[in-house]
Amino acid sequence: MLYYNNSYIDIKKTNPQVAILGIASIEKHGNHLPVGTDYIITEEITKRVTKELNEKIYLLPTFPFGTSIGHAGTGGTIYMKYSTLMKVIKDLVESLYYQGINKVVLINNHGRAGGSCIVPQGNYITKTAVRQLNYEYPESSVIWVQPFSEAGEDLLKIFDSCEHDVHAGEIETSLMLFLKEKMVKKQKDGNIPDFSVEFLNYLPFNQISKDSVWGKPELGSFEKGEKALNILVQKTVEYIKNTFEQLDKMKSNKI
Amino acid sequence: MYDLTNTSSEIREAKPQLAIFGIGAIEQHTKNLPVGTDWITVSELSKRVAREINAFLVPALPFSMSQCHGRMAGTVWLKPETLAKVIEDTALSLYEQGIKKVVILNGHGGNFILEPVVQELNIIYKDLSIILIELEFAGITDIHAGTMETSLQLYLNEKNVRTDWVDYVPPVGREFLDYAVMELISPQGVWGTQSRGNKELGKKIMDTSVKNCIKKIHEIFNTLEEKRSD
Repeated sequence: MLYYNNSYIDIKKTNPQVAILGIASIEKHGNHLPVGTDYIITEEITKRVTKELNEKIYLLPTFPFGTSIGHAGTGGTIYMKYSTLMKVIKDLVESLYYQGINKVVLINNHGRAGGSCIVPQGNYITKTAVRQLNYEYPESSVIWVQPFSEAGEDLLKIFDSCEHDVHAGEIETSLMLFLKEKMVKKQKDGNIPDFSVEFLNYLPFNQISKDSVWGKPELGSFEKGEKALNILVQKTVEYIKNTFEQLDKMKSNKI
Repeated sequence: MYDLTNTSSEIREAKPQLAIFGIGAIEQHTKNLPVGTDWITVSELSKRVAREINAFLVPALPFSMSQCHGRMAGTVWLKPETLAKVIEDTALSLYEQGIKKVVILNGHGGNFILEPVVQELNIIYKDLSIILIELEFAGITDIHAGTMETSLQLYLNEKNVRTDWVDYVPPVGREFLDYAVMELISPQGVWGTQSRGNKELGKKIMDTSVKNCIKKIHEIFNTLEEKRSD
């Protein structure tokens, strides 16, 4: 694995063909989890995924900020406009292509559990950026993956409130209890708003749920966090391998 | 100090008046120093400064304007307009939550877009004060991966430093980076004297920089407050 502590000569000699970039967020996570929750979890997933895949991968530092405008104005939240994040993704991917790394994986801020990698659950613009880059650079490939979506079915088996877990609930609380227990504060019982999730596009988060919690953090545990992290990493690795395999096949057929 | 390890309510209740945002870079630093050199240094410096003045520490931006290192492996960059947007969005996120003093601590020499962004934000938002502090170290004039950066990495990150030193000072002015990529100006990617670097100097540079940054931050904000209340 290559990362920011390697010199350019290490990277040149190893000649990595794939780069991985995590895209996180710094935003309110109830009163019990740190604002860096997404960043800490995304960093850990990208690092573990890179190690699992193989050693010829260049892992970039996680981009800390996401499009958290729904949390605007809350203490500690730093958000990018979607147009800014789109530019960031394009520049970073283009600079990787420019030095001959023609496969890039974006590990998207996980958003909520479930769904698929068809619909983005958080940092929506990542999907658009990927499409545009692939239209503009057909010889290269950039893919995106949402660990929480890929592992959706497995998470259902681990977490009792999985179906209603949207933000700072049982899943994120468990992962943080496993990764950074000291940063987790005692939490009140969570709540599950009586709305469907698309209301997150219509109202600021704290108008939907007072403490910006959507889920049941009180059900979280260290053990569930450990189990979940393993499966998140495994499913993300599988997605990346399968997707590149299919893409390589399609692209070589064409020629 | 408050940072990403705190909850949102802890930060809101503490009402920090000032935020520190370090700007790093991921770019070639010769065969001896890691590509993360600028990011590692500015993360450490901004943390130390934030701790001393009880500020809100925004995680340092890993990427900035490194196109000047061209195709040298491991280098990734943001274009100027992208960096400008990241700074604007960050400053406005802070402003919206009531943090109206922002320090941009620039850890990479090529970020010439920062000045116009800072100027524009200060003029447009009358009650926002955003200031730019460049890392400068008295007496050391090397430009890239030289004595200063070598010393700092030896001090902060010794196990990731190789010691097969390269020294080279190109016979041209620094503005040549406006005309040609680093690889053409200095094929090994250095502009300075690595062999003069040492750990003790690294510690001295870090300690002095923390002190100088804090002094500058206080001076600039004091003057600004006086002028703005006139």
